[in-house]
Amino acid sequence: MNEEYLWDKTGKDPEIESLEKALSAFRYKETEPPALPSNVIAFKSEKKSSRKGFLFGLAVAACLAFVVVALGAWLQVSNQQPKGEGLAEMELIKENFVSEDDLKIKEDETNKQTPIKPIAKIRKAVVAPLSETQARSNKVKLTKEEQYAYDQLMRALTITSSKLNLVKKKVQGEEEQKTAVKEGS
Amino acid sequence: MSESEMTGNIFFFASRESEATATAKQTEVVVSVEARLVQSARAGNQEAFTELYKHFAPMVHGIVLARVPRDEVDDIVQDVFLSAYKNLHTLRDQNAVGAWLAMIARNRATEFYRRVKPTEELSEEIKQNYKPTTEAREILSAIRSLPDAYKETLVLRLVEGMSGPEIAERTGLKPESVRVNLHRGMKLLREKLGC
Repeated sequence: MNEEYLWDKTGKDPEIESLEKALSAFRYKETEPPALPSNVIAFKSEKKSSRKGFLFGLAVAACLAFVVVALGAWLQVSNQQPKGEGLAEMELIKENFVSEDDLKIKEDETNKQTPIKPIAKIRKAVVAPLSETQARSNKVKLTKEEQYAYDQLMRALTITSSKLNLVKKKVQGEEEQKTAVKEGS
Repeated sequence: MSESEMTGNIFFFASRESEATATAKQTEVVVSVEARLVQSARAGNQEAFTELYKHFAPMVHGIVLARVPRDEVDDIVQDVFLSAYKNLHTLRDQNAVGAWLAMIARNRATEFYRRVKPTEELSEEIKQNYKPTTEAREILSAIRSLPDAYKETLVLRLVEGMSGPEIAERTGLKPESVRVNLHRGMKLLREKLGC
C-alpha cells in the first residue's frame, strides 16, 4: 500500500484507487442549501436595537464620566496654590501658627473686649501648627519625589505605631496578670 | 551510503517539509476565510452561509454516511446545516466551525437511531436510484463496522475524495491524527475485505 497516496494522493496505489472508484457512487452530490427560516432576519434587527441601546448607554456613561472629570479638575484648579512648593507650605504653617507671645496679646485683647470662657479662649487663641497632612490638604503641591517620600514616611510611621500599640497591649496585659497573681496570693 | 543517496535523502525530506509548510499556510488562509464567513452569516448574510454550506457539505455528508443508511443521509445533512444556522450565535470559536459542524453531524446521526426503527426498508424509488454496486455496498458496510475514528476518516477519504490535509482542516483534527486513522483504518479494512 502506498502511504503517500492514501495521505495526499501522491503517486499511485491500484488497491486504493479501486476502492475509491467503487465507493464514488456514494459521494456527495452538490445540492442547494436548506431554506433558511425567516426569523433569522428578526434576529438581526434585535441585534441592531440592542446595539443601539448599548451605544446610548455608552454615550450616557461617557457624559457622566466627563462631568465627573470636569468637576474633579475644577476642584483641583480652585484649590491650587499660586506660590511655589515648600516655601508656600512653610508660609502657610507660619500664617496659621500662633506663638506664645501672640497668644498672650490676644488673650489680653479678648479679655478686654468680651468675657470669653477660658477653655474657649484657649481654643480660639491657640491654633496648633499645621501638620503635614493639613498643609497638604491646604493644597500645596509636592513634587513626585517629595510625595513618595512623604508616603513612605507615613507608611513607616503607621507600621511603627501599630507595632508600638501591640507592645503596649502586651505589656499592659502582663502587668494585669502580675497584679491578679499578687492579689490571688 | 553513497553521497548521492545522502543528497537524495536530504532533498526528499526538504521537499516534504516545504510541502507541509505550504499546506499549513494554505490551511491557515482557509481557516481565516471560514471565520469571516461565519461572522458574515451571523450578521444575516445568507450568501455567506451558502458558501459555508458548499465548503463543509461534503464533510458533513461523509460523517453522516459513515453512520446512517444511505437514503437518510441527504435529509440529515440538510437538518445539520439548518440547526447550525439557527445556533450559529452559540459558536464560540469561529475558526472551529468545521469541528462544530462535525459534532452536530455526529449527534444527528446518533439521534436518528433513537427515533427510527433500524429495520426500515428502502422505498422502491430509492432502490431504483440506488446505483452503487453490491461490491460498493459491502465495502461501505465494512467501513461502517470499523471504530468511529477510522470509519469517519476512511469515508471522507475514499468516498468523498478528500485528501488527508483537507480532512484535518475541515474536521479540526490534527494532521497526525488523521494520518494515523487513515493508516490503521485502511489496515483493518483490508483485513475485513480479505485483501
